Amino acid sequence: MKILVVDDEQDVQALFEQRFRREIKNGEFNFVFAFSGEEALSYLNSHQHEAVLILSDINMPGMSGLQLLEEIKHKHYKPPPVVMIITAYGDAENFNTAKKLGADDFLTKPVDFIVLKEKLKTIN
Amino acid sequence: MRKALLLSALLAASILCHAQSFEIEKLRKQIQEHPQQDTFRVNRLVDLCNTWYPVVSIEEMEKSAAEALLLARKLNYKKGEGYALLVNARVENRKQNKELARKLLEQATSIAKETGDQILEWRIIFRYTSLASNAKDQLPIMLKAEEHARELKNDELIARSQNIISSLYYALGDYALAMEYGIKGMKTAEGLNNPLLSYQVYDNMATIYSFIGEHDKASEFLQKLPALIKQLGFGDEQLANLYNALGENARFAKKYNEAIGYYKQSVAAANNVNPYFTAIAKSNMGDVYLNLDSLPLAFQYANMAKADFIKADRTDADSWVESIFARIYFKRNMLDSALYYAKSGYSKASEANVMEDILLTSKTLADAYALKNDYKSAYTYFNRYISTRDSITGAEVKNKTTVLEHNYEIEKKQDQIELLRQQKKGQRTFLISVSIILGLIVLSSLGMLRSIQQKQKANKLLQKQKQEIDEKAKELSVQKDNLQQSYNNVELLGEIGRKITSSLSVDKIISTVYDNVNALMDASIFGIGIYHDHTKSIDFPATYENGKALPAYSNSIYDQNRFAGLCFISGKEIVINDLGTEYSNYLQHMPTPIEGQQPVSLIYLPLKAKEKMFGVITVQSFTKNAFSDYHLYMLRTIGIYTAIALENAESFKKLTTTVNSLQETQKQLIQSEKMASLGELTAGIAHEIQNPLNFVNNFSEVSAELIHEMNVAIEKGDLGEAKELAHDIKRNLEKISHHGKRADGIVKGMLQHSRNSSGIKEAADINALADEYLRLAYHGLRAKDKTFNATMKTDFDENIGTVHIFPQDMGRVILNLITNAFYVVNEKKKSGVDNYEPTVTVSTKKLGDKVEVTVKDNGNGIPEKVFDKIFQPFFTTKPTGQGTGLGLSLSYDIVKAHGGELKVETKENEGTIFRIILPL
Repeated sequence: MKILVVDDEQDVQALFEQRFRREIKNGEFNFVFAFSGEEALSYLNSHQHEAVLILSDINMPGMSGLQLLEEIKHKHYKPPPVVMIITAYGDAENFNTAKKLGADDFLTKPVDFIVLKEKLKTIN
Repeated sequence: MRKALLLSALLAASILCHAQSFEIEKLRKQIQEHPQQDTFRVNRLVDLCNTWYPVVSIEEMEKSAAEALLLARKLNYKKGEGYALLVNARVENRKQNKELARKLLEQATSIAKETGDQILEWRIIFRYTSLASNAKDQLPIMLKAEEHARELKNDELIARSQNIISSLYYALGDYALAMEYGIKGMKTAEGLNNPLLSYQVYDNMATIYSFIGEHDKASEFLQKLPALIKQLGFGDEQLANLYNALGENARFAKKYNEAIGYYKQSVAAANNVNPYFTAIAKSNMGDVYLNLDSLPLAFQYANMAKADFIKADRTDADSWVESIFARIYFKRNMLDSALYYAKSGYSKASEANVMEDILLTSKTLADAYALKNDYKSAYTYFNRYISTRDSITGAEVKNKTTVLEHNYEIEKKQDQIELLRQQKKGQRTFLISVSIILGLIVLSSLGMLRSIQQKQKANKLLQKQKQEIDEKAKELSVQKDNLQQSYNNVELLGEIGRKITSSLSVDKIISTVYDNVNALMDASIFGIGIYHDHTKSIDFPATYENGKALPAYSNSIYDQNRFAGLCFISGKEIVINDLGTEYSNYLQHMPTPIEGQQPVSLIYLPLKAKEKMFGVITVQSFTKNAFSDYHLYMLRTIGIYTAIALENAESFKKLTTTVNSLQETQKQLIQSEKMASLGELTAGIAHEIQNPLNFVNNFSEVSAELIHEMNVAIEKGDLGEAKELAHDIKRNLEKISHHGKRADGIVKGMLQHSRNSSGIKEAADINALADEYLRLAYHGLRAKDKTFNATMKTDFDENIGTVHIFPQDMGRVILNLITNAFYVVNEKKKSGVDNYEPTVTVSTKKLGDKVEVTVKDNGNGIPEKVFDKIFQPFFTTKPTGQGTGLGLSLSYDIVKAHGGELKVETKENEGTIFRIILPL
């Protein structure tokens, strides 16, 4: 499965690649990274017919995670991508907005990679 | 006073002064019967143009003058051309073409010089006079003409010059010189037997005599005129003028009914001729009716006159008509209208120097201003009135007139004696001659006696006028003294008021009031009682007796055998001139003083401000009748000031309490604000710090896993895998260190922001400071990024000297601004703009009592949408991890704490300028 991670922190890539070393190695997950909402959208547009799971942070310069979510849910990508939103501690407002905009699932910061791994495996 | 300004008529008079109607007819006939194109025809045409204006029409003159000039030029007849030019100038001047007239005269002058024709030259000067627009300009030209005539020894020209000079002096208000030239002209004219000249001379003399109040003399001359008018074949214009003159003479003699009769005849004569003459007579009638208090008629005639003057296109009588309107309005008590017309008339009359109009308008102005209580203006115009009146009827004129006349008479007698001598030589006996001479001497002595009598009369009049002026001056001086006294009192009270109301402590108020009252009156005892509501008492904290302070004491307001309580409760003034006899008007029994001795006279006044009673003020004396109304008045005013001062003191006390509690509240608010902002900061910090901490945690965890895997690999003997894992672990440790430092930076920034500046201000060299931080910032960035490069420019004002600042704090501000500037230019460079030279300029400048530090970059500028947020804490445009968002916020607070300003200007794509403005 292809997972698109959207975060402005570049070290996220190193972190994910190490955390999911085994899964990447045995071809279970295939991670791609985008460092802004804009970058994520352009990736989606150029890979229209791939089934993609999107994992996005909210707080980013430029297009925020919520704007990205809205964009994705409004354009009828086929198949419709699953979007998981990463929210901060106690950030009820962002949580509610994301829910309203149609987020499929939520993760809270700091990300618990064991939980994330299980969720991804379930979807897979 | 309005005589027609006949100057133009005088000047227009021909050299053929004796030209009478029949002679004009003769000239016309000659021209008609002599069509030959020769000099004779030229001369006759010129002669015709030089005749008396109303008899020959302007059209006829114009035609003849043009023909004369044309013919003279055709014949190359120079003399004729000169005179023809002159008559053409006369015609053009009549037609108001002054410029053309002037040009013609210039041509005539060159011909006169060429042919050496002196008479022509005189006549050119003479003609120039009529070109000048007013008497002031005409006079010097005419004086020159007289001189020229004297050189020519031409009596007729001399007489005419003198007569015109006389009327010019008259118009200018110099009556002594007018008289002198008038008599000179008359004397010169006497032997010439020239009726026109005689007419002009007598008319002029009559005008002058009439005006200076010698009505009999004026009448004598006027009576000579009708015969001359007849002899000259004059028309209605001259008749109108004569009747007007008779009217004027009667008017000046205050024979108003007689005057009206003459004016009416003048109007009748002038009706078909010239609106100028009807206007004059009507305006004079207006003045007469004004003097008779027939205001509606005066108004009616003044209006008719105004209309006629407009019809005649004459403005020389404006001031006269306005003087009539001004006086009518004054009499109707319409002061503003009176002032309006009088002012306008006064300024016109002053400009043209028309004495009687100045006299009338200045008098009206003085009277009207006095009624409006503007005494300063009234006084100014009254002075002008007096000085004008003096110059008309003053001793100088009268005396000079008398002397001149007397000399004239004596000379006349001497001439007669000479004549007698010649005739009777050898025929009559010596005795007869002697007796004639004796008789003449007696006659001349009688003349002398008459002159002396006149002189005495004049002196008497002068004496009377002087007395009048003295009285008026005395009256004014008393008024002035009174005004000065009131003014002084107001000044003094104002000063006292300022002093009293400037203090806010009750003790200070009492002692200030005491000092001032003591200077004004006998304040042997002085006290101010202050009312206290909670004790219902009046306290005298400081009472003075003979300059010494008495111990404080207190009265109950209900103690009705005390003046203080009585005065306070009733709110009424108590004034006692003799306590022993008057106390019973107020009290049941003689009061005994609580402190000090018994006074004899006293005043108690309530102290009241804004309907609130503050207490009482008292002055007391050991002598009877120590206080006058003036003292009471002054004390009353001081009492008002005292009450105001006490009210201020009370408000001040309340205010101080309010201010104290406000300050306390403010302190608390600042504390809560600090706590609140700390809370905000904490949330921001938590958020900002979370990302690096997540990385630290995650990379640590992952590294532990990797070490475990590495051990497994080593046990398996897969060294390649183990090495790869060790490399990953090393990289992770670097990342942990990086994010740890990032978190550290954020915490430090937060601490800097919230910490109070505990340092001491030092005198620092702001130029050195800026320079130091510029280098620090640059090398710091070079150390981080080897590719970084930018141009640094400095422009320091060497005259700043030292500035009192917290050097570390201000250093941080400057460093922050410079770092930001380097960052933005570097970003722009990296974005690949062509021909871009990243430049940061730091400059300082002294601006009066301020100093400005400027940091300027040529980056992309601040986008409009974020411009308002740049000073907010945690706001940053830098990518995550590169900026804390606290730099500008912190800088802003530091500059504010220095009492300065941090300003920003930005232009998209051009750059940004930050200005730190600090007080010196």
